[in-house]
Amino acid sequence: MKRVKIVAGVATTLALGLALSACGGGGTGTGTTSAAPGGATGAGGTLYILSGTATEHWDPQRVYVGVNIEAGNRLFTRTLTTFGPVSKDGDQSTLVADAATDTGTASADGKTWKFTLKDGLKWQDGKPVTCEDFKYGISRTFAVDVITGGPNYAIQYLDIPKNADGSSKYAGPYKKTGQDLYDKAVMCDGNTITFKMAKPSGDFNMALTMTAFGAFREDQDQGDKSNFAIFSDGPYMLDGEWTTNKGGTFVRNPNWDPATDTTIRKAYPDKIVWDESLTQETLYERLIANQGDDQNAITFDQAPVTALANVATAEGRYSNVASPYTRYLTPNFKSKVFSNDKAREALALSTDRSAYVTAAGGDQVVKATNSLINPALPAFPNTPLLAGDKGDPAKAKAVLESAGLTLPVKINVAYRKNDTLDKVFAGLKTGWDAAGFQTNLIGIPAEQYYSTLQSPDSASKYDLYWAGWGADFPSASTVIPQLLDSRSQISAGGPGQDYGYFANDAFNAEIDKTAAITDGTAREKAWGQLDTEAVTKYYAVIPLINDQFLFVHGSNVDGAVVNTTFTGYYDLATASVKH
Amino acid sequence: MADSTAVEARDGAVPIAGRTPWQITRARLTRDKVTMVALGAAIFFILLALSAPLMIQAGWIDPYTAHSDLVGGLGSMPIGPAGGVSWAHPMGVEPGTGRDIFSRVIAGLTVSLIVATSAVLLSAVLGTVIGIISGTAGGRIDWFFSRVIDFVLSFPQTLMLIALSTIVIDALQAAMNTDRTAPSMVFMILVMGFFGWPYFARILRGQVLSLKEREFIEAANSLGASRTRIYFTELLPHLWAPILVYSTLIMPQNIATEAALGFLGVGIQPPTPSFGSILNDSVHYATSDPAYFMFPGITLFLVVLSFNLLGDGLRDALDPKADRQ
Repeated sequence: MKRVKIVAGVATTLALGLALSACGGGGTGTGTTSAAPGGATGAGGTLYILSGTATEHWDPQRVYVGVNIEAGNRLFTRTLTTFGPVSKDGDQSTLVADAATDTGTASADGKTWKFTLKDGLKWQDGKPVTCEDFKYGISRTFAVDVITGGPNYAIQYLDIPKNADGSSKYAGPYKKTGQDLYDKAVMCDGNTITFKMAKPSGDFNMALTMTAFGAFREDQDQGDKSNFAIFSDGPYMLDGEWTTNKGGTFVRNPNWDPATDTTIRKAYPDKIVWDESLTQETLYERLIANQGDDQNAITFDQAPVTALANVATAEGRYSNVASPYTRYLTPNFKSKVFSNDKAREALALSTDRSAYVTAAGGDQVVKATNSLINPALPAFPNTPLLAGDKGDPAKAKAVLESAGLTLPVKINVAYRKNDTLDKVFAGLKTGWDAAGFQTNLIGIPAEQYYSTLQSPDSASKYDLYWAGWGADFPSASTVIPQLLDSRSQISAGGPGQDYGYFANDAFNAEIDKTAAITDGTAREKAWGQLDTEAVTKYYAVIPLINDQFLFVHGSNVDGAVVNTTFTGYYDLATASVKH
Repeated sequence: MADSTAVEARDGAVPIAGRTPWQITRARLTRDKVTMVALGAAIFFILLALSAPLMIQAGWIDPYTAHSDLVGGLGSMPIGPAGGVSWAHPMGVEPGTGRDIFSRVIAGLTVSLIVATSAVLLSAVLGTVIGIISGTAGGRIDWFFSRVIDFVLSFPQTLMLIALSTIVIDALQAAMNTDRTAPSMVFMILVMGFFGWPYFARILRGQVLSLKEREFIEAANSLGASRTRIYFTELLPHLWAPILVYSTLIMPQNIATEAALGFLGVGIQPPTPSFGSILNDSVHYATSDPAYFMFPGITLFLVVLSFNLLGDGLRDALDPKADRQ
């Protein structure tokens, strides 16, 4: 995932907090209106979500940002499977059935997956959610010219042939070219949906937690105009319109049956008000001050560096957990400097991660790492740092001198411009310059950052890039191939996510071998080994730090638990407000 | 008849000696205490800015070294009172890195003053030339330049700066083949200089128009003086006063523009400090480390104030109608 993409599967259920879960836990709904669990004292009230980041998409097939995956799934887009809520910050959560009856049955060869839909699933207008709705929703991902921005796992996983240029032969439900190919890959038989995989895929049922695999009603589809036209099959629906940079209000969906959703969404608040007109700093000031309606508020925004000093005053109201994100550097293999193996080694040896940690605000905010894979994943290889926290400029200089380049070696380093990274890179520059480089820092504004990296002309302008990535779901198959497999990433249009144009046939062959391993544990371990190899043998990437998340919530909010397995944000499945 | 220039001393009266305009100006200035203080401050800041690179070389000030031991806790805040003030760091240290703020302010002053002064020079030269030509030529040339002035004055300077910055700086960097500091400074000087000249041109054109009718110009013309001689020998000495005054008045405007650009993230790239980037960062720490904003903010305020007061004082001193003997 890119900088703000989080682990998939966001179930939006608002549950009562731990204190109240003992009594009346989850009503035995009779399938009638009013989804409030009978007897649970936590039901009711208005939950406020304060946001400093404008939502780009609510269309389930276009959502790729962790916040919107979490909120979309827990509020209005159910998926076949999801990761359940947890009771304590940082607990591991397991894959559970959401719209399906179980987490799916795979064939022996791993190439076919079958799911059966639950009975009683309804849309907000009372019509039932059918297998065809899921089939239609997933097919929208293939309309790559209209439905943009979402993950393309459906295109990667399903057994549909590709054109010579790598695009799928199925062009989506609007053009209908190749519709018969799609109909063979995704089949509906009553309530049973069957998927045919292109390759054996042991973790397909984890990919299904992303809202891109959610259902969509064909008669509600307005293409691009559906972006904020939320049509719900979850406990909440949009009241009125969604306005960018202002937000919207969610009210109860009378047609959601809590009996079909006993393990995930508690749906306690009567109303949820999403306010995205604020800035990160303002909303954190308000949360810390904890006055009036802000006592009923939570946020998905990270505490900005500048609010950190005051966060300590919000006793008992803040959560500090590991995030799914890793920040790293990619050397540009097309540049004269970093096509040289020893130059990359020298860079890796002289990278001062302690400067990053200090500039970012201390080790409660970021932690040094030498692995692309995040510590929360089972595949985490915990690769040891090559030269300690601070790096070793002297040793690096010796390596650089043996590289055959004239010192000082000029390098152009691109990073996403903001105050914190300005300081981070000033610190990194000191270490690199001590090793014999001459670092030229170029800060690129956030809106253009990744598009600049992915533009083909950048290969001739920059030698080194900063980047961030988080696993889309808890399998390293969403990390290593996405960042380092040149075959799926590099094209005439640019490097894809392989920003440094790392292209190594031996490495690609090992990726294939690893993906084919059927035993989950062994496969994850193999991904970890590939990670270590990429870092220590090829110097293809230089992992820097893992982000830690720091969130504050209002004093009346209960059950705001950070679900690190599922997106790493407050889980709306269990949140409630005292009233 | 007695010699009219000789004044006889009678009854102890003191002969009145003639004074040149500069002597009159100097007398007025020295009497005006506020302006003298402002002049002293402006000279002090200029000297400080000029000597900053030497001080950095000599190691007296160090805007680049991070001191991670001087910051700590959640947010890497400065350790110690008022943002980490100590004898070694009289203005405290920067949150996140521990860099010395005093050194960064001085280094930032260098950048700000170089950019502002060069831009003023560029504006003054361009504006004077065009103002004189426009004023003396009259007719269609004057009409043309006046429209050009109107056109340039109506352009939104800051927006142009932001929009053009990346493209132009990239091109300059490719041409100059250095890191980004020099091209950024050249870019800002060129743009601020280009947008500043109409201000001068208008004023000087007005002055020239009024001077043009005077007898000494008529006399020079009828004696067959060349254009160049008229411009440089006859007109220019009368124009120094407005040029000087408006230069000192535009200086603070340019300093503020450079700071605003740094604030918006355009302009000088880190780790080179500039007032704009320092203030930009410090605003976020307003509640948790107010000293980080106060020290650079007050310094910038004093610099801008001293140039403003100097300009005002000069204008008063040079104003021929002020009879404050």
